[in-house]
Amino acid sequence: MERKEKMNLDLTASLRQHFGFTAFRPGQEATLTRILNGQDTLAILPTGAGKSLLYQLPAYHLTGTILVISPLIALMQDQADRIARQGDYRAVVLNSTVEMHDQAALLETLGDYRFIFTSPETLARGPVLGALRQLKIALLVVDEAHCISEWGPNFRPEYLTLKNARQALKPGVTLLLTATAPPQIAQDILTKMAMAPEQVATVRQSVNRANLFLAVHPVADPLAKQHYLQALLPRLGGPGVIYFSSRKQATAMANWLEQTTSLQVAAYHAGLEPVVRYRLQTQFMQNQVDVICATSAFGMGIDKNDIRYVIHYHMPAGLAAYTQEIGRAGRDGQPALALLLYAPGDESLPELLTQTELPAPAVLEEVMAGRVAPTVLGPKADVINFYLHHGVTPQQLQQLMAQQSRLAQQRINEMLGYVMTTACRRQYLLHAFGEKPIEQALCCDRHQSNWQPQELGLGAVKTFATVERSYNWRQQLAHFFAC
Amino acid sequence: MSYLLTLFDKTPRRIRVVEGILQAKRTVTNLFWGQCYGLLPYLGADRHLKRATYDTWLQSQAAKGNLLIDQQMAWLTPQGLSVKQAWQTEHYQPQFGQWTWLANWQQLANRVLLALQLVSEYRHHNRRFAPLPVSFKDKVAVRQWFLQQSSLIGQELLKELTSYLTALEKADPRLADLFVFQLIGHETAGWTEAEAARRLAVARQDLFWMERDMWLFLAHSLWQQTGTLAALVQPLLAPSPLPKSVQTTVEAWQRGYSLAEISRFRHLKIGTVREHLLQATILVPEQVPVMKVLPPQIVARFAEQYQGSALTWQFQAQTNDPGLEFFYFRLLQIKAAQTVGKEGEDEFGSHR
Ligand SMILES: [Zn+2]
Repeated sequence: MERKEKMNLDLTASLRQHFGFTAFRPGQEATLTRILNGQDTLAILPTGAGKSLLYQLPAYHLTGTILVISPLIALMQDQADRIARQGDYRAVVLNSTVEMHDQAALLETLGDYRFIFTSPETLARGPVLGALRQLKIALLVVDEAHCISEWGPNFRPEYLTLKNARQALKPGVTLLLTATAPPQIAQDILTKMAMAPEQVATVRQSVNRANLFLAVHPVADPLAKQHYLQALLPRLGGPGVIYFSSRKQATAMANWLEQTTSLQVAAYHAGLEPVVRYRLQTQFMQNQVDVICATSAFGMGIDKNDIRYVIHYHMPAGLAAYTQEIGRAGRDGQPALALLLYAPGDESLPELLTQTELPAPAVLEEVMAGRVAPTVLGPKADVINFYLHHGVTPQQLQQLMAQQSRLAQQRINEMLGYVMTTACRRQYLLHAFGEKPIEQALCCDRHQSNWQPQELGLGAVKTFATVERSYNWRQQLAHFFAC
Repeated sequence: MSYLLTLFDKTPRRIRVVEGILQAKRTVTNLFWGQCYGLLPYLGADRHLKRATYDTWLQSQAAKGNLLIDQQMAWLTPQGLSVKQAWQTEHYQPQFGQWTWLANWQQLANRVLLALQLVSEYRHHNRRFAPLPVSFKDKVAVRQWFLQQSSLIGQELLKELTSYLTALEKADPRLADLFVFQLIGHETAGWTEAEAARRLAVARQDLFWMERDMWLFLAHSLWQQTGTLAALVQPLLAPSPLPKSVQTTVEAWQRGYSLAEISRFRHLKIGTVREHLLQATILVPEQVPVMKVLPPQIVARFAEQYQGSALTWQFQAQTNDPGLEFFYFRLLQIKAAQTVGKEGEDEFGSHR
């Protein structure tokens, strides 16, 4: 007991000293206490709970390397950047975007870095695992741990190799991180990692975000969405994010809104050059941009607390993805809006994206024998190929894939249920995640069908658009170099 | 994509040549026709251009009535020509493409941006910042460069950049503004794209060409110079418009070796050695006195055989060594086109 209190005291001091915060966000302290006591932990924390702190703070109290496994290759650099910004430790990214000869050079200097970010695919490569085994891994972090479960929406078979990697690396302590995991998936994560449930502590936070007002706006067709946004956005204040399921549409809408409103609007997607993405993120952080039209690539690297709204132009493929994305609004605890635009038939897009025809057994046999390239297997080629090379028979695979299609359809139906429900949307969400109902004043459009931005406490903030300063390159350059 | 229309003209152009030029595919055919069309300043201007994107664009222009396409050639209709002219008056026109051979400007930009960010943060005594996500190679280069600098690095860079920007401002004041207001450093991430377009009163898609110009201008002003910035980017600057292997062939030839001898000791096919010389004739004509290569009787025979504009000559083999004969033919054609054509002349690295 005494020991625990002492630990708490140290943690808060450490938080203040190294990060400048005075209080932990929900779930952080419980997780950190367990990790620093050497307890393997599964932390289920909705976004906004400050995941990165959970592996950044231990660096000040543990000796050894901190290895973070993440499936989000495009965003790894952002995570490493955040550590660089913190300034005390060096962080490095090791994944398929690093060129081969650069990787070889990096492997020789891995010991210079306190933080190593890598993907399961890269980790599975012999030389990489070999180099990591030379280090003392103090903390192994598996980010997006739900990707290991076939029951979840983001299953990635390469995560199944993490069990072996963990056994090879023998980390001091293991932290499994996820934003959403209903009980059966939480259990499946531990099974797939070969970790005994009684030896793993679970820290779970509610998916409910009390300061988010939940709303759905049904429209007749896509054009109506466009005009609704044009009218609504100037009344919402900023900053905000609008999610799209295609890069093309995100870009087109950003241009259109920029031209037809007085707002500063930019498009963000994984197809942009890294320097361009960096610039855009920084401009958004520094409030030079009011609205970002983004694909799901946007968000993870953004530690912006004052996002006032998250709007979905297209319906996401499930509630897990949806709650993660709306969780980026209102991290400062101030009122924020989670709005979904729905036109009849919108569900057909996620259906199209998730349903895959499984190739005939004969084709699978050909791929297995190496006579046909795995690319004939279509968009799920990676998953199928992985199974085929890990002792799953074509017949078993047929069943597995059929089951995954059913699960995907179930998730879409659940999402559609959120759109269609005539009852409280918050209760619908909580129920779906196996949580108890919560009642609150400002809740959702089912209680307040004619909601207005001002009533929600939105729109008070000025948008950044209009201030035009004069500029002069000579002055700016002198200021840039502090000369 | 609309700028593509400006790369076509009333007279037919080879669609694969235009595409190859943009993608920096330096075959003799692409370079020769690219020079005839005056398109060498666009070499490598769109390295990632996809065939499907390009072909779709061609079809869409044909459907709109701007372009006629026949047998891998395309040319502007009168309507297409006026669309092109309207575009040229309403949009920023690239000015410094003649230096495109100096560097891959995007890599140059990444390296310089990271270096300037580092110095800006250093000068503001800030060590907590995220470095720009450039390649590992560029990060290493910048770190090594930075370690060699003195504590006066801020003042030195300010001086060097001011002199570069003053020259750039004379060429086009918008480019100097754009350069400074896209720097990333202490508490600044530059203008947003929309802001830049608004302040400089240009269209958003023009910014790409303006950026390319300002970096090429920088590359040119640092080429074969010494100084703080030059030390950083020198390894990225090409010493000549010719690739290294081509340069080696040309130098051997200038020292008096025959093409057959060069082929032998460089272990290259004779066809490759000839291609090298043809590339050089196109890109650095003053280094290759063609008349020294061409036997006088060939020149005389060709003068009878091929008449009219060099661009319309059709090669017809008359000897039992068509490879050699075509080499002579192409050499003469390049020369003829260079003396006659105004467009392509001296556009591409034939000075300095
Ligand atoms: Zn409600």
